[in-house]
Amino acid sequence: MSTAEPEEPQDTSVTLAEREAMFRNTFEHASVGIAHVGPQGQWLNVNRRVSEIVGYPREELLKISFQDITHPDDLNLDVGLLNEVLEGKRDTYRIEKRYYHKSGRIVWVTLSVSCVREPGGEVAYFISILQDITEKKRISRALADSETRFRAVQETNPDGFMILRSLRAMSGEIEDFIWEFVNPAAEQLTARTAKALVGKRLSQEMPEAFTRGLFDVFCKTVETGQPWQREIYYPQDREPRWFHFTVARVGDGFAVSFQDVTARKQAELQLQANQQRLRTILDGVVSMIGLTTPSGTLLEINEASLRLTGAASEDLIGQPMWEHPAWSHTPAMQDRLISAFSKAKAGRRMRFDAEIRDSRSRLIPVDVQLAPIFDEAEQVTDIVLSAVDISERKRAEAHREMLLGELNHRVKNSLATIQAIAAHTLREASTLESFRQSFTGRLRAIAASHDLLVSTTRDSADISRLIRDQVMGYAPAGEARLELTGPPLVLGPQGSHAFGLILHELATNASKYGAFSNDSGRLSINWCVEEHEDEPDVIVDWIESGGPPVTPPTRKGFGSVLIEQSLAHSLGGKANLTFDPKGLKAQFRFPVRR
Amino acid sequence: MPKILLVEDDFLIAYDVKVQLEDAGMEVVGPASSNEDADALIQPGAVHAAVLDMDLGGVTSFPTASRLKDLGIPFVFVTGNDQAELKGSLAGSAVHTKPVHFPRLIDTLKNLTASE
Repeated sequence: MSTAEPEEPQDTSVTLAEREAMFRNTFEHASVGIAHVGPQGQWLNVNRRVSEIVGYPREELLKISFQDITHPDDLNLDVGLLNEVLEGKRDTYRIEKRYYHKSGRIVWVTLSVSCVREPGGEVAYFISILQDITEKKRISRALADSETRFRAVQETNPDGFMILRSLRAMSGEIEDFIWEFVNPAAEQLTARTAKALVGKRLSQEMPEAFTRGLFDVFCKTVETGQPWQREIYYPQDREPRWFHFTVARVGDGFAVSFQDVTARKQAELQLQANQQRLRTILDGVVSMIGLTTPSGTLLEINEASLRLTGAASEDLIGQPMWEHPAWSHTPAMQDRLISAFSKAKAGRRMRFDAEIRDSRSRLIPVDVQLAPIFDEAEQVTDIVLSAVDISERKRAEAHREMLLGELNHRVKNSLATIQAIAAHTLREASTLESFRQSFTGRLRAIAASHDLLVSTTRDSADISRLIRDQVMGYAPAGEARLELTGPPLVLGPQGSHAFGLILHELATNASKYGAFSNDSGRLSINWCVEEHEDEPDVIVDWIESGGPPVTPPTRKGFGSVLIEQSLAHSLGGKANLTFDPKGLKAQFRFPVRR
Repeated sequence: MPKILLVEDDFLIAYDVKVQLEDAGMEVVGPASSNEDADALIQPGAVHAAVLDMDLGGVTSFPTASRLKDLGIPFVFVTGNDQAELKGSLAGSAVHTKPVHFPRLIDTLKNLTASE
């Protein structure tokens, strides 16, 4: 800066006085503060702006020195530089310094100092230019504070936090993002250092953001300003993790905050699974379970009830339980439930059997319970209604009763049969001993038929077993003299019973008079099935040979009546006996399945 | 000689009842083993009374009983089911349980046919 006076303008049309005035006005009305300061610091001349900056009227200011109103922390610097100018070491200096405003507050200024020297070099006076920078200082301080605070927050923030700015193509479209900031938590969660990320492209460092659709989310947030948050699952090999993401626009870019919520998520999932399990159990075991208010308004109902009645939960919740279609089918059932609810409301636990109606209008017998729930004050707060399907139990009960009745009936019938056998065996017996033999033989024949029915599939018996059971005991040398030929065949209960007794009668006859009464007779039994339109018949041939010569009986006894007539009577079958002298022949025909 | 219709599906029991009644001086019509067989035997003047097994292999003899009742022919039920309950028009019919006590059955039949 020059230390000389400005050169005289060449324009002669302006008078000296006018120039003088122009300089004075320039000095006075400049937008910066201008002051002439003496070598000791006393104000020699100040313009209006200086007064405004420091708050002192010109007259007051001219009575003091700049040192009087300079902030003590800036005084040494200012005075030191001033001294250097005084000593001739420098001609100018420029500093930022603080003055005390007359009001006591601090004002910041940029101070530019130059000087006018005497011909000998001593400083005649200083020229000081003051610019008020208090506002600028305040803003930059605030900015610095905010920056410091932001960094402090992000240093300690347990959530990951990153800022990325958009990288746009010529068309203006976002093509990538570049990291601007990464906090320590983000470093830890991403296992990358801030250094490694800041300034780098998202596409290069985390390409998975593109494949997972996050890039599109980021773009949308930047373009619309709409914040976005979501929980995202990272199925990593060893430890799958859940992160909660929040994305918000920051300038032409975005900030993303994320935290590891795996523990919470796992707890949630566990809870869900537990509830689901409980629900499954309730749905599976109980036909109907519902929670109601004390007055019977439905609050919640299980899935099974909805399936059962085909109703939607929205249609039922908030309605009285007895309006539920399962209960509203008969006024009596509805009244029963209403009365049970009024007792449960009074605190009584109710239990009764009822019938509820399902979606196909079937009535299902259920065991109903109403359990009141009490609060600390012993007031009923809710009622739990459960209805357990007891169809199985009812069926079992009915079945047992039916079986008992059937058993009773059969026993009585068996006794009647035995009564008949006893009566007719007795009629024909010549001695008590012969009665005993015949009677016990016939009893055992009935018993054997019964055994067979019980031991094989219920109510049916295999014909070859029936024959063996009834005949084998009378064949002297076992199977050598007995031949059975025929397909596997299962007879019905009536057929087994009637034909079993016939076999017994034939076998005892054979052992007394026929093929089994000597050493050489043989018996062959053949059977086959004859199919008919309605039901198949079995045809059995009984052929004795090699026994003593056969003569027709002179009188028909109980045995032969039974052989010839019982199939016809009970089963509509046929019996045909031929008293061939070479051996007895008999043919039987009766329905297989009856 | 009173003619007694016998309806009983079990051959041995039917045979026994038949022989017992014949020994007591009655004529047995049948035995029939089903309602259909019985139907064919019920002719005017052919039957004076009847003995009916209540259970004919799973079906009841109630149709035959009703027909007899309509014709004014008296009958006696015989059953192994002593808890059998007779309802409607058949309520109050005579019931003998199995095994049959023959002297009593024969007495009953004689009383029912006394006017013949």
